[in-house]
Amino acid sequence: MRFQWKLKDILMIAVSAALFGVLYLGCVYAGVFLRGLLIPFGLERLAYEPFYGIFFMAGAFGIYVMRKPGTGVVAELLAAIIECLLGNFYGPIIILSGLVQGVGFELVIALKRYKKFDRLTMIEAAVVCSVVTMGYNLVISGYNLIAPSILCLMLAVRLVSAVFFDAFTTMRLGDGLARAGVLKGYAVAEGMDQEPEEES
Amino acid sequence: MSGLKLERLNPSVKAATVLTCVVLLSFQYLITLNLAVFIAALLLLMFFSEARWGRLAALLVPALIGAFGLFLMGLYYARAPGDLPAGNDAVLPGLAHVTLMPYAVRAALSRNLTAALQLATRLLAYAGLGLLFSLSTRGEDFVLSLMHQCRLPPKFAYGILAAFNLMPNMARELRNVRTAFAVRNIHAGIFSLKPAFTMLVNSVRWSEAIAMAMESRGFDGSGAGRTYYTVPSVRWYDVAFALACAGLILCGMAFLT
Repeated sequence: MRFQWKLKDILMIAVSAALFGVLYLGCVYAGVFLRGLLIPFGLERLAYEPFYGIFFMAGAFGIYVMRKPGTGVVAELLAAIIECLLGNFYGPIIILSGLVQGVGFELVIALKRYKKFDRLTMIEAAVVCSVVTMGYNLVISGYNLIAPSILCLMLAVRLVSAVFFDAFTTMRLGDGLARAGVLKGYAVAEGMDQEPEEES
Repeated sequence: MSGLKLERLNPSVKAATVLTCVVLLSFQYLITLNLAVFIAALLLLMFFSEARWGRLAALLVPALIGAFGLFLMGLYYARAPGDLPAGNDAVLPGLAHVTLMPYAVRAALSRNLTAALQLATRLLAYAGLGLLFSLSTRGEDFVLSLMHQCRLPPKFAYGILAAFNLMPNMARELRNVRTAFAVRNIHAGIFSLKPAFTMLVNSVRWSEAIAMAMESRGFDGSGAGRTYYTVPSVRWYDVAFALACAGLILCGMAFLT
């Protein structure tokens, strides 16, 4: 049952993680205007939340494509190490966050014994992951000093973002890549043959 | 040991030290300790590493903006004073003398100010620690060290390095795909995922070819008893650095109030 990682798999995940990293940076730059707008209201942090789901994409993509225990966590860790190599002020803290995100996302899928990978499961995983990462923020980032109402607002935006990026975009990406024929030999492509038009 | 430089420390030990310090700092709300960690990290970077000051400044800007954002957030939206964690009820001494505002406003504001400073300085302390690592560590050294000190399997280590060094090619491919789309009169906006998808298909194809090439050269670690060009090791000063950092923060938590 355990997934035997081959160099091919590692590179596939790492290359897509690199794309997600660039996507995130692009969104952060695009969000500069929103941040500037929100700073006077003390809500600058909120401007990061719409893109928060992108952080979980590597793990979501990994587990969706490979569908074996641990693949989500390992994929998220790979992404975190690459992000760490890119050089930013978080440094190795990203690896810790990546671990939390990877475990958070895989939780629901593990409870379903890695058998179900439909839209609902991915949405549930995204929701649980958002809540878990908010818990992590409460402890590590000191968010427990913030009023609960504001935290709920942030969590709500994060939930929408996670569902959008990790349940919808990731599934479309995985299915699309499988249909393009570059994911031969992965679990996601096997499912494709049985139900070719599950997604329209 | 010629010259005390952060670059000489073992990357894995450095990363573990930073993570330990972050976890320790997350248990406390001392503004002074947070600031001390931030300043100490900056001083170490400026005088005991080869990090360029320009790059340090460039990476510090987003951290400072983030800290300012958190500061305002704490100032406006700190939790009601009653349920703030213990040790938070201390009114900042500076504000006690300002008599222009009614007492209630002053007290609320100063409580919020404490929370705001706690949040902002914590982010600064983390940023200092993160930069301490990022600016004094070569990515390749970190991955090689993860392989030798943290038992990261060689296929992961070399896979990460290969993908990392593939990134400029991916950027070029993305530009090519965009140009190709433009030539075919397909409009792809800045936010369109279509070019990125095409780029990813091509990148995954390359990565398969690269993986095959790497496997044929034994980079997947399957060959028995392969040798390494450099083997990072842990020396006494690595352990001393880790213990000193964790020890100083523990002392700060015990004695600063």
